[in-house]
Amino acid sequence: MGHNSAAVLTVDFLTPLVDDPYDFGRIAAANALSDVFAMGARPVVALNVLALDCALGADVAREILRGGADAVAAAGASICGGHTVDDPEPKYGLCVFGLADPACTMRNTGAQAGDLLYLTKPLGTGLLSAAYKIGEASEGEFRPVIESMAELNRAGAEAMAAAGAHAATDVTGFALAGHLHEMVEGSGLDAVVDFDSLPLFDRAWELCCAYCRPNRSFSIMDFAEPFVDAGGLDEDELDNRMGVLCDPQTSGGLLVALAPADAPAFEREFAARAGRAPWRIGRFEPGEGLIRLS
Amino acid sequence: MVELDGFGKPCPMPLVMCKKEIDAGNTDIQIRVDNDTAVKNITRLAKKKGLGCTVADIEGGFLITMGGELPAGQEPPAATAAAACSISGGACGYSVFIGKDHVGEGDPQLGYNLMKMAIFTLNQAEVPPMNLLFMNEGVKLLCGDEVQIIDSVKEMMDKGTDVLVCGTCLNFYGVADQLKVGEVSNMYDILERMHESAKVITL
Repeated sequence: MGHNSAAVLTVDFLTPLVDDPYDFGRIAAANALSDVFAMGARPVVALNVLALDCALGADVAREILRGGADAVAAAGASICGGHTVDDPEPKYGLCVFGLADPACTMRNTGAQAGDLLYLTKPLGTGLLSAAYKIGEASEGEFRPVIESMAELNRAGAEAMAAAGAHAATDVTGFALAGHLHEMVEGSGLDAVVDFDSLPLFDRAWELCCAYCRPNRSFSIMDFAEPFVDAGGLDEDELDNRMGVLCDPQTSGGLLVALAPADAPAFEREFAARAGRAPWRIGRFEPGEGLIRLS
Repeated sequence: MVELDGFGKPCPMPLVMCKKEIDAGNTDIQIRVDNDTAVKNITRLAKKKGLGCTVADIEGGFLITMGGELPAGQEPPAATAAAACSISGGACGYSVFIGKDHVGEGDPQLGYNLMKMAIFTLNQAEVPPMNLLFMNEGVKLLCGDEVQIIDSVKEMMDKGTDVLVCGTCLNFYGVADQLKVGEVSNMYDILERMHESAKVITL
């Protein structure tokens, strides 16, 4: 769009993963907005995409849309319409239009050897959702996960723009392993991940070891096996770690690649907006597209 | 033997129940489950833990038996395959010939369900077949909408199984354009694959 701005247009929607319609609205909207934030863009306008069984009634629809509207407002954008259909399987999401300074648009490729790798939200939404569904996690244990999924990736997006990040993506359905793989695939780089530094929701590790894992994590593990270098871990430990790396996330955080010199600025800018520090989880080294565990 | 009931339990509950027993040191486990996802993930877990695992079709679902001693006279599949290779002087592995869309004779619906289950179970075997050979009405299995059959065959192909489908048969039944998986082949190649195999199983 001219010389000074680039346009980003995206659509994303989810089926419900929480009981409360307002929470579902916030999460689905944050998830859709995240695609724009991950590209270093600023959301401007959004359209609602809602499929709902009429039998659920107008109150449910209103609460979902209220959740979505609150998230969009917090993102600094506005909702200007949308479309609704009658559907036995509820779905909600957004089509989002955003603008970016062409010099600051972020892609998932572009990380350089020596860059540091940051993550802006804890991992384990898939594990905790699976546990909550079967009664293995309480409402109270699941609440922080809901709040995290509903949190916008705005702080991360603004911080990485301010700090001049090299590359970024958001962690969603293909899990940390899948999305990090996209950052290093064909780049001549390996991502070296310090497993102990990964931020996890309370109980996520224990649930993973107990095999309270979402079904999709197993196909992601099969997919990821060829490009994850276990570094001589024993089979059980590797299997458990893979369960975390391959846990599909809903509205997960941003993965950001930064030169070490720019890292303090990123940490500072992120903390000023989010009220907490981002997690430094690894670094990029010359390699062949692998994720190496250290 | 620990007996578990996974009927009516949403995933991943049956998986969690099995893992709990394995972690407690119990490796002889039997669990009944009512869905394919549970079968897939539990057999995967057993394999990961180096336990034997068989799946039987029961009313309303599946009975999975893990660990324990294999039934008398039945050697572990890997050993059987190795033995077959050594005695047959070059011929190696086994082929499965599927010449109809049902197993056995009797009620057609039961026969069809058994065939579906046989293909599903074949995919769970430690050693996948070298070849799946489809002829006559058997080719229809690969042209229908039965996702479980198509997926099982595809997974076996991913594990190295060659799937040969009789082209004459596809044309005869007018389903050549509906073939979902497998390589269109001919009598010569299919017989050649039988000849190369240490063992051919006819379903």
